[in-house]
Amino acid sequence: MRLKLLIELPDTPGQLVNILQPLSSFGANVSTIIHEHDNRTADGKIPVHFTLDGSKEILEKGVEFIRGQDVDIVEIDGILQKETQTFLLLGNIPTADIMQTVHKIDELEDVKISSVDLNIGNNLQESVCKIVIETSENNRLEAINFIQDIADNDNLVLIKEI
Amino acid sequence: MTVKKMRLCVLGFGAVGQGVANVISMKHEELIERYNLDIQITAIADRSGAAINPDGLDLQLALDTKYETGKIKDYPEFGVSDVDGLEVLDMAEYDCLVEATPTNIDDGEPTQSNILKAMNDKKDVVTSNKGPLALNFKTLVDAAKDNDVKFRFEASVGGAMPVINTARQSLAGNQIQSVQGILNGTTNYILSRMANEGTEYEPTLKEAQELGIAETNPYQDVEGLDAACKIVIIANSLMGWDVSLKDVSLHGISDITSNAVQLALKDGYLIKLVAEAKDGKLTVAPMLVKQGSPFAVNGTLNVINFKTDLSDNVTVVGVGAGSIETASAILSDIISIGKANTN
Ligand SMILES: NC(=O)c1ccc[n+]([C@@H]2O[C@H](COP(=O)([O-])OP(=O)(O)OC[C@H]3O[C@@H](n4cnc5c(N)ncnc54)[C@H](OP(=O)(O)O)[C@@H]3O)[C@@H](O)[C@H]2O)c1
Repeated sequence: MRLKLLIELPDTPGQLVNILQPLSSFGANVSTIIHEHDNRTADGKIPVHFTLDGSKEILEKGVEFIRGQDVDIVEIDGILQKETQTFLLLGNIPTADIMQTVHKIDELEDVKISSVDLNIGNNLQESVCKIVIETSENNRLEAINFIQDIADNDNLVLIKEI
Repeated sequence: MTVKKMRLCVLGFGAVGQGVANVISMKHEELIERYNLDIQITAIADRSGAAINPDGLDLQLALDTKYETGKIKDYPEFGVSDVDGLEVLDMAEYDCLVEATPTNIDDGEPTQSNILKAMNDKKDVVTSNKGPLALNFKTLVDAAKDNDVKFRFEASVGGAMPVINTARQSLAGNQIQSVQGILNGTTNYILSRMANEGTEYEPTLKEAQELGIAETNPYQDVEGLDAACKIVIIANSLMGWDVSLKDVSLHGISDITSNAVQLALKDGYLIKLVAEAKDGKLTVAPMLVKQGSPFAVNGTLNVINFKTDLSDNVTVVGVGAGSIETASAILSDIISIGKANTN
């Protein structure tokens, strides 16, 4: 059997080897490795494509191992495992209030916040917050609708990705 | 093949109306050679009145007169004052109305009445005016159908960027599933400058006004109404929706701060005012687009992306406004009507 994987790895030496060596030791055959250096993610990780060959058991063990290393698997055989979305929240409100809103988003089920970047205006009254969230492919739209409701309730402008 | 005469009545003699006079005088011989169309303008109107000559106006003289006195009624011999659009339509001998009076998004007048009268008089109509189309699309299209006349409005949507004709001709047979685009040059200019120069919204708007890119009253552009009108026309004419301006969820760009633009840039995003017709909803709002993506167009450029069933994504980029540019879209509509009528 064969699996095509797309994972995201931090841009520091040794990351790929730390994944690939154990995989071979399970008996999986790793081939066609492609790094997308030009296509970094919002948090600076590099997408890496590779193919795993082996028995069903070996492949399952391999995927489980990768997940256990806290590595993000983006696609398995072309099927998205997670989707990231970037958006901005802006409003004429103090920083503490905008963080309240971020907290509400963080509490949404099936939404994982992977980064928050806050920019405070000169007068401390105008805040902009950039949030990157992860959702699974099938609840992406639902998650965005919930976030829109939260932003509307808190009188913040939500700027979504196209 | 015999050359066919096509007589135009031009209502509105501002940037667009004068552009039409310019391109027709520039291209007159070429249009005869290439399309067997001898296009003449027999009437031109502005707020002062009109110039009407059934044998065709001297377009250079009309442009010079407007330039010198600001009033088309001063056109030698054939100038008339104190007539409104409807009266001009009665007085003029013409085959096709070119409607280029200012956009009115409250009730679409006087454009709507002008267009309906021309259609009821069995004349074809070309317009660059979004107002009545965004308010009462069906009324106008039905009137054209009932009277068996042609009605074209390419210039109302993308200026020189071909939107309607791309979809109807090049993408004929495709179903258009969704449309997203940057349909307003003024806001794109302001947001592009804010990203490139790190400036705040207010001074950037002022600069755009000084350059003549933004209007003295920029309300319709910056609050997203102009883009909203255009996406309504697109949804009605290309996607078979039955919608009007009030159906658009609308947010403009006046609360976009330099801070927000810079924070987005840090991750390679630009903030753009995007109009979309998608999943049954019409939206105009600032959105994040990736630098280097087809939507990352700079300055006053417009862009539109059609998501289709057969051709996947098709994207067109072009100039959304300007006198000659908009007149080019009007001319393409005039030629297509002229060609259809000779066949
Ligand atoms: N400019 C562009 O790049 C562009 C692009 C796409 C679409 N459009 C649309 O095209 C239309 C014309 O735009 P524009 O830029 O040419 O506007 P404009 O420069 O303001 O010109 C408007 C013209 O209409 C005349 N007018 C006003 N009320 C009239 C009336 N009741 N009867 C007859 N004439 C009347 C004005 O007369 P006076 O000269 O006496 O004031 C002027 O000549 C608008 O609907 C606009 O939205 C414009």
